[in-house]
Order: sequence, then C-alpha cells, then structure tokens
Amino acid sequence: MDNKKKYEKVFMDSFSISKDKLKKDLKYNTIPQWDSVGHMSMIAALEDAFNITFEMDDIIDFSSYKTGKEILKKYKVNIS
Amino acid sequence: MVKKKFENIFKIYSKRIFIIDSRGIKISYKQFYESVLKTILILKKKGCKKNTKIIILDENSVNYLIILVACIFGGFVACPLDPSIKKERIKKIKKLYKSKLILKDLKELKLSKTSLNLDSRELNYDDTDCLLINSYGKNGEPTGILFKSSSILGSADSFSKLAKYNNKTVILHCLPMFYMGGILDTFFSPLISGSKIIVAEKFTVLNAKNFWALPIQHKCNTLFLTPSIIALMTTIFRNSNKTILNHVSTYKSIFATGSILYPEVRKKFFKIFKKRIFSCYGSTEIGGPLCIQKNRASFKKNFCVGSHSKEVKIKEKAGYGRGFNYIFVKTPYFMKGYLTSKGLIRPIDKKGYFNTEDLGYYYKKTLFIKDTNRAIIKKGGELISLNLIEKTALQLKSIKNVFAIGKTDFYAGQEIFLFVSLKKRINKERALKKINLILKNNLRPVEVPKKILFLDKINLVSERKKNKDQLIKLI
Repeated sequence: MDNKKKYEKVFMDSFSISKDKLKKDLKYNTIPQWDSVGHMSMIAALEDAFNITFEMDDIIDFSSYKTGKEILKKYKVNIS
Repeated sequence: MVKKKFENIFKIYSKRIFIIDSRGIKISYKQFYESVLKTILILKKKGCKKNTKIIILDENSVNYLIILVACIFGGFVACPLDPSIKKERIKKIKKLYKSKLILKDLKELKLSKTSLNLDSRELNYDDTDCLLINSYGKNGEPTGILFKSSSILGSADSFSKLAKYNNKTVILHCLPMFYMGGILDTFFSPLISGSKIIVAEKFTVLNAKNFWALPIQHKCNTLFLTPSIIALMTTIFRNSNKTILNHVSTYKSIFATGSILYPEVRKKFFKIFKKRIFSCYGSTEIGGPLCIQKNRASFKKNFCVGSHSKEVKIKEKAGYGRGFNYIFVKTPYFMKGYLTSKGLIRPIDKKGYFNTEDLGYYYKKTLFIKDTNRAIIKKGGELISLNLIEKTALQLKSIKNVFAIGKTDFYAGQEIFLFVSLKKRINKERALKKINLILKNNLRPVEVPKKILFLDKINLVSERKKNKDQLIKLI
C-alpha cells in the first residue's frame, strides 16, 4: 500500500468516514469524531502506520488533513 | 446550620487568596463572597426566587463558580449544562426543569458594576435544593439529579477530608464545570478546606502544549484529571523536559476522577512522569466522589478505587460471577431524587442502599470497580446516555433495532459503537448516511458513536452487560 492510501486509511478508520470527506481538507473539530480523543487515536494510528514518533508540537499542530501531509514530510513520509 | 458553617469559611480565610484565574487575577475569599452576594442581588432582580431553577450554559469561568455558591445562599437551584447540547434538547430540559432563566454569557452579569447592598440577613440558610445535574432516564429522555445544599456541602466536607485538602492545598481546576468532577472534587471540596484554586481553561489537545505553565507558575500541589486527560498527556508529554518533570515530582497528590483509570494508562503515566496516580470513585447520584486511594499498597492493585469515609456504607450483590458483583451504596449525601416528567423518584431499597449498577467487588473495606451495567457510560469523564443514542437512531423508520455499547479505549475510557439492524430491502450505504446525519444533528459531538455496525438481527436480553459481552466480540 502506498503512503497516500495508508494516510487516507488512517483517517477513514480513525473517524469512520468515507473517502469523499477527505477531499474538502477535513479539519479538527469539524466532525464529531475529530475531537481531542479522536485526535490522539488518529496520531497513534499514524505512528503505527508509518513507524514514526511525532514531536509534541507536531501532535498539536496537526490540525487538518492537508496540514498533516506537510507535517509528515518532516518525518520523511511523502504523501503525494 | 450547614450553610452557616459554610459561610464561616469565607470569614475564617477572608484575606487569603482563594482563586487565581487564567489571566493571573487574584480573588480573595472575601472578594469571592462579596461577588456571591452581588450575584444573588442580580439574580433576584432577574426575578429569581426560592427554588428558581437557573440553567447555566457557558464555558468555565470564575463567574460560573460564583453562581454555584450564589444558588446555595440565594435558595436558587443551579442547573449546569454542557454548552454543546443541541437547541432541541435544551428546550426539553428547560420544560422538564420549569426553568425561566438561562444564563448563556456569564460576563453579562456585570458583577463589577453592581453595588453591594444586600444584607447578609436576607440570605437563605434553609436546607434548600441547590443543584440539578443533567442526566438521562431509561427511555433516553432527560432527567435531573437534584441535590439539597446539605448533601453537596456535606459531601464536599467529607471528600476534602478523604483527599486531605487543607489551607496549603493549591489545586488546578481544568475539568468542565457542568459535572460533578468540576463542581465537587475541584471546587466545593477545596473551598471548604480553605485551599487555593487555579482556574485554567478546560483541557483540550489545542491548549495542551501550555497545560503545565499555570501549575508551574502557581506551584500547584494537587491535581485532578480525568483518565482521558491522563491518557492524552502520556502521548503529548512523552518526552517531557526537566522543568515539567521536576514540577510533577513536587505534587502531593494526583487523582484520576470521572471514570475508570485503566491499569495501562496508570502505568504509562508513571513511566513518563515517575509519579503515581490515585483513583477516586463516585457517581453523581451518590453526591460525587466517595472513595479514594490513599496508599501505595492500593496502587499496585488494578481497578482499586480505595476506601471510603465512615458515614458511607457499601455492600455487594452477586452479579456476573467472580469479581463482577453489583455495588450498592448508602450515603447521607445521596441525591434528593431524579427529577423526571412523572415527578421526583428516589431509587433506594428498604435499607437505604442505591444500586450504582457499577460492577466490581468490595474486600476488606476497599472497593474495586471493573465495569458497569448502566445505560450511562463515561467517555472522557462525561456522562453519555446509550439509551439516548439508541432512541435518536430509532427515529429513522428504516431501522428495526439498535444497541449502543461502550468499549474500553485507551484515550476515551469508553468509545461508543452502535449496532444497527435494518428493515428488509433497505440500502445500507444510504441508511448509514441517514443515521450519521440524524446522530450529528441531535447529539453532542462527544455522544456520536465512533462506528456504526450493521447486523442482520440483534437479539437482546434485559441485562445490558450480557448484550454488550455478546456484541463486543463483533467489533
């Protein structure tokens, strides 16, 4: 599975949403499932999927689907 | 008499700093008491009388705490609600409570512009109703958990002794003020013991980065957190710097309140912060917290929530086998009753015991809580009615049957899953969209299930835990 598919899968599984929800740049707190608790579950799933460990600032700044892609670049994970 | 004793606290500690807010503004016990008197005047001007129910629908603030005390001395009933509750449900709650006043923006009270001319002889010293906490009945309809002032103040006094609060205690308040954790554990109990309270913003991932700034600045030595906040911290602060670690090492006590503290969360926190977290146990109906872990020996026992004060009695009744007995509690701080559309209901047995429907065991005066059979679970420390979720989904005619469960989750404590069986020839994809929409439009964000699972048939028995044990295997 390529990085983009892995990334999408984490979002879809963590928040139980369909792929079309990701097209509009999903943001923190715009769906009920993406609250503080959902956020941390998603972070844990991303760490597992890409075998990385986020720094504190990145966990907090991970505020949208789009921003997340930029943050992952720091960890040498490119989502094209 | 209880209120007189309570009022004396403000006189004894008059000059002492009572509250420091997130902007650093210091409020003494005397200033706080004067604000309480002003608030009573303002509320009386707004038409409040004895037993008037005042709905509070705002975020955490010092004014929130002032109103809670003003209701005690004014003879009014504070009805705190989660500000994220949807309008339709607020209407239902307002109708049930027969409330004529909703306070949505507490800044509008304009306390600083009100002159103080209330004679303290006008204060209400009777043991009146003072607090109504929102909950849900078996049909998913709103109910209220009603308390008299003697229960709230008595419970606060008892818990402050259990938690060993005193006038040297500096406690951080970061829990929502609309439920017991934010009302009793971290407000009335420290107030009664002359402690200092640092009022912080409600904890979220967005403000987590600066979480330790206030406690470090004000040298907090006591902390109350929900297991969810603790779990979030174990990830966010897993590489904590020396300043934070040194500060945490100075804590007299760090308590987990609001829901079950799972062993893995406790262990992870200890690994990172080298500090033990002690569990508390209570429920809203029994007047908040009544058990607390006090020693290291109890720390080693999983699911141990500690011991209780002498005035509280606990008994168990066989439930689901070894370690899963029903826990019954008898306490003088018990609620006045559930306020329902059919009147006030006081569910205690002939000997005065209340079935908490929590499951665990009681051994050598120590309580262990492992699960619950209640249709109300705790997610992130907040009460969630599974019946309400089921009832909301059942509004769709295409649904034959539903069942909601809470499943253990590291971060949430309990995560919600909704099982649905549809009537014949209904397209699942379309049904899923409709269910998601109706849940989102009617429930608070925290109440929306993590996942909806379809089953051809759901066979249910009367015991929730048996249904849960059967369905949880399918997740």
